[in-house]
Amino acid sequence: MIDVDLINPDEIKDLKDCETLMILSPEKVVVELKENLNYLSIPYFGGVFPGVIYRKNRYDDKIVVVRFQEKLKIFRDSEMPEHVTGSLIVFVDGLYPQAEDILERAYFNYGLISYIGGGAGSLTLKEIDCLFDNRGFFKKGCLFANVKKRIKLAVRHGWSETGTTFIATKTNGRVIMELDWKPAFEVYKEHLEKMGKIISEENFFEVAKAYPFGVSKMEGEFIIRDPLSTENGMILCAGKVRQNSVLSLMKGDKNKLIEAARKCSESIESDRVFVADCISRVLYLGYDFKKELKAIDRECFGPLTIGEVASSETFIEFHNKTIVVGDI
Amino acid sequence: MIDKTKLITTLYELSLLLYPRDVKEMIEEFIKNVMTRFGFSYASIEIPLAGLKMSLPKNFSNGLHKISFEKKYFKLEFGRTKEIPVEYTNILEPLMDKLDQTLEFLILSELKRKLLENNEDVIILVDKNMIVKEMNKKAVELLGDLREKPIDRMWLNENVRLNGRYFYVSVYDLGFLKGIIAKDITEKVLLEIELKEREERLRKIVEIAPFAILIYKDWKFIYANKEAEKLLGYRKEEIIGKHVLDLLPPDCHEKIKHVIHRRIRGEAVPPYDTKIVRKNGEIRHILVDGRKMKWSDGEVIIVAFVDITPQKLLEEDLSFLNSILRHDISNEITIIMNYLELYKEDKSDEFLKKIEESVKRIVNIINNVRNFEEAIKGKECAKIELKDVLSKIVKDFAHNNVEFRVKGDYTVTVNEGGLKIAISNIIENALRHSGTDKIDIEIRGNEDYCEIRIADYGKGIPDDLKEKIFEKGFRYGESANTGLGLYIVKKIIERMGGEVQIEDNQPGGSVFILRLRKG
Repeated sequence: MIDVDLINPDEIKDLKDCETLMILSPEKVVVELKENLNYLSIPYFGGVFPGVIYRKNRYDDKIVVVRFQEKLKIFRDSEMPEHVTGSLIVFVDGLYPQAEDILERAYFNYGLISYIGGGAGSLTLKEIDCLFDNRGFFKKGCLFANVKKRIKLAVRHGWSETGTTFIATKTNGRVIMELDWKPAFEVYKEHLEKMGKIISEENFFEVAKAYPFGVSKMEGEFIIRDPLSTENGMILCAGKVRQNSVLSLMKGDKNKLIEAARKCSESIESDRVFVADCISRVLYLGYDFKKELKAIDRECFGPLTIGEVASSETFIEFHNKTIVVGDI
Repeated sequence: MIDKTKLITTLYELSLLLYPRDVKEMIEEFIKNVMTRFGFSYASIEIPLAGLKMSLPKNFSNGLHKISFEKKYFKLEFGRTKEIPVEYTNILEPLMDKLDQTLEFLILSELKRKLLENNEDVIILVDKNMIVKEMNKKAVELLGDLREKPIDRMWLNENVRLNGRYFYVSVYDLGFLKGIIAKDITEKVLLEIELKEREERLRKIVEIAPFAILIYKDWKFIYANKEAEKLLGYRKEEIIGKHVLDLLPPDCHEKIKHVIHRRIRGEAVPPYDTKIVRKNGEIRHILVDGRKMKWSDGEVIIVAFVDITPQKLLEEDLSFLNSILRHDISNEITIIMNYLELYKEDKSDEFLKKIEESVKRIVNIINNVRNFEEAIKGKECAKIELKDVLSKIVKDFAHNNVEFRVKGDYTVTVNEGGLKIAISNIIENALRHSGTDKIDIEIRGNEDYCEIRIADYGKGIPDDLKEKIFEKGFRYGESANTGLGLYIVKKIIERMGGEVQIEDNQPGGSVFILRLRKG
């Protein structure tokens, strides 16, 4: 059983009557949050995100708090216990290049439980202490909270292929250095120009947010890799890109994205759902983001994330530009 | 329906993951990607030859749908909650074959690499400019890490000594590279040096040993000390290479073969006596002891021996004197006693005559024994002119009215006293038994031997007796005396390393030939 509220940062110190508190904070109020957390005595964990969702709205100045009536086992990636059952709520430093490795390690340890959450961090793409628990704030890591119930979850994005593919001929973690044996940005730019889109280093994210990369799977949707920035001809993504992988240039259709969100939500039977929605998706949808939230036809709450985590019956994945819905 | 574009892309990407590198790293990345692309939630793999067993995740739920592959080098199983399309087996099969081939290459390469890396030999790969391209652990320990640096050309030599260690080097042509394998043979070399030093010490000891020492291997002598040279009369170089049996008289061969076989088998053989033939043909009695031992060339037999000829002769002398006292003189005394008994009864002069004859024989026996003693007592040998000695002997027989003719001369090194007794006995024998009136003495000689031929012109000696007349106590005819005279001649001459023969003289009589060595 949980209770979910939207509060001002200074109200947090008054919270009680629960065993564990999950705190989802927009980056803009992190200073006030830190001041007030000092007064909080109950066990808590949470992340700092580009924004939060509560009911049908996005907030940048208020905090979503989720009160659990069960005592959750909270642990960082450096202290993973031997066994975990039920589900794990996972907040990861979204800009940490080793985030996927930590998630894989958790999956290898705990197997087919449910994993739901997303990447914390700043939309400025600067590293910040974006994860916290009673012991303080930290970055470059992962925070887990073990829920007894098996969370049902769904994940979708709605992005579709343009028909253009690249081979990521040189990569390093999340950085694509070369596409088709040429500097990555040059190739990417060339193809966007063919589609009538002008992209430069300055307007990179403004344009690129509509044209992510997709890695194909035999079943289900492509895994999306979100191009976040460019530097020295290389492209930084919000998730790992393996060398020699075939990347499809994807395109967005707002209606399809919203439809994906709706279908995702519909597959979960619950009056209230946790939603981890990608900030880049939010930025792409713009004013239409409200439509996506509306498409989630029930009470919802959650973070706007830099990368999403979802797995229940398949190998764990760190998604981009995706919406994850679960019945926490 | 399977999307073929996605399938081609997926298979292309997955196949690119199968390339030589760390087995675990490759397997983990490959399996993770297959799981992601094909929606599997579980995988387990076993690669016995790599000692690898992996389940991803380590805990999994039972009741999954599964698909499995068993190849030469691995067993792999994937599982998931959703049903698995049947086509997946055929789709994944070629990838699994490629995985198997890659594993074969990796495992075998790794095994070879580990073998080389952990080899106790120094292994280095160099290019044509002697730049080190690769080296194993032992090589790094010895030379430091020289990869991409030049190495001394001495490593192309067969034998290398470095930092007090010895290496036996083999160089293999590997096309653009050369493989250098250097075996550390320091322990062996040091052992050999120590063995050689020990041998050298042993040689020095053996060299100054007061007895003869010979070492032989495979029946051939490989070493002889100074005493052995002295005793055998050969120089060391003449002894080395000779067959063991070459130094032994034929009548000893069987016995010695048997002894040597026992020694080769490692059996303990107590000291024994035998005979050897010196270079000059002289036979010497020796006492031998020996054993098998390790030598630098393997196992050898070392024998030490001493000359026991004087002791042997002494034994013979004692035995001779003993037999005379116990047998010959005792016989004569018995005869005297018997005739005395008869005389007491009969008082016949004939019995007194018999007693007188016996007493004379006893006197002769004693004279012979005294002569023999004198002959063997004179151990000192001296150079003598034979003609002078013979002239003196002839003078002693001048009262016998016999004509003596002495011809020739020769210088020999002998015991003069002994030789005089021997020649006198022969002359006396000729005068007593042959009835000759003339005796010719001829001296002949060559580089090694000389012969003294004493010829009479009497009645001669029948052929069937020629061998017997030198036996002890042999008496023949009415003029028979003690039966010791010629026996003593033979003994004396043999003691000098010579020999006595008898031939018929022409037109009648006998020729006694004394053959003596010059030295």
